[in-house]
Amino acid sequence: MNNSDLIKNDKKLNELKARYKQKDLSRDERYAIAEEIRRKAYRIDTRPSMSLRKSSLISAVVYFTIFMGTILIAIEGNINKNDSKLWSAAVMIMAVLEIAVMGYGVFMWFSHKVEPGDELSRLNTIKADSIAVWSIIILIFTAAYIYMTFTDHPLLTFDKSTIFFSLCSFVLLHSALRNLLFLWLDRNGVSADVEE
Amino acid sequence: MAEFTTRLKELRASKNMKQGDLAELVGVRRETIIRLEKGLYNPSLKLAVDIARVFGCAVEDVFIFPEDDEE
Repeated sequence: MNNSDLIKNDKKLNELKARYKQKDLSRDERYAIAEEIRRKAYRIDTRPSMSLRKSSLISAVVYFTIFMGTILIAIEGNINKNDSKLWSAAVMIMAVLEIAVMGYGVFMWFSHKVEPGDELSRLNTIKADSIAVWSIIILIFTAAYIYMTFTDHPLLTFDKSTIFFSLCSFVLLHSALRNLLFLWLDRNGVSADVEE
Repeated sequence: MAEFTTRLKELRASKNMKQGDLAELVGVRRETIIRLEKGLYNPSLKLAVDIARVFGCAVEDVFIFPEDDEE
């Protein structure tokens, strides 16, 4: 029996899934059952385990690499033709790197079971999310201010392409930063500790 | 966050239990147990009760808040 069959045929897990679908459950009860389902599925899963921290690190690297690629493509569209060959080469190298990193990420996520989160990880994720959003907003306004103050363009203009790349960059940078901040917030006491 | 001391490490040692074992029993990560033992994380009521149940004692026997000492 393979891994997905094990999970599908587990009696306790199926009971939990049936309970989860009941309509008379409160939000908290549903949440608690969902949590139990995740933990039960994690225990049944026979794949090697990957810690939440390692998964976050892989996510951060994948998102940051795609973010860098997006930035390179955005810059390539706005540079002098004299430099375009150099940028095209840089974009090509970045594309290869992106594919390699994404391939590694997908391989790791599919070949391992990721440790389910707990109350501390949820708390740290919420904090990381909030810090990431505010950091990027401050970064955007600072960059826009510097650009408008020190260049010949007193006003920023946006076309569809710029808006698209900006939104993509925001989402990717936010995801990368959120995962990195999660690792930082979750760091206390972990590095030096061995299993006691 | 209220400061507290904990007897978690001592209780765990008395049961010859590893951090990972306790984490598995109460459904959290080992990192959370490490933080709890160092007094760096104030657990939810549910987690505190779950941990106390593992050791068969009351919550206030595991997590000691300053008010408890004064009484």
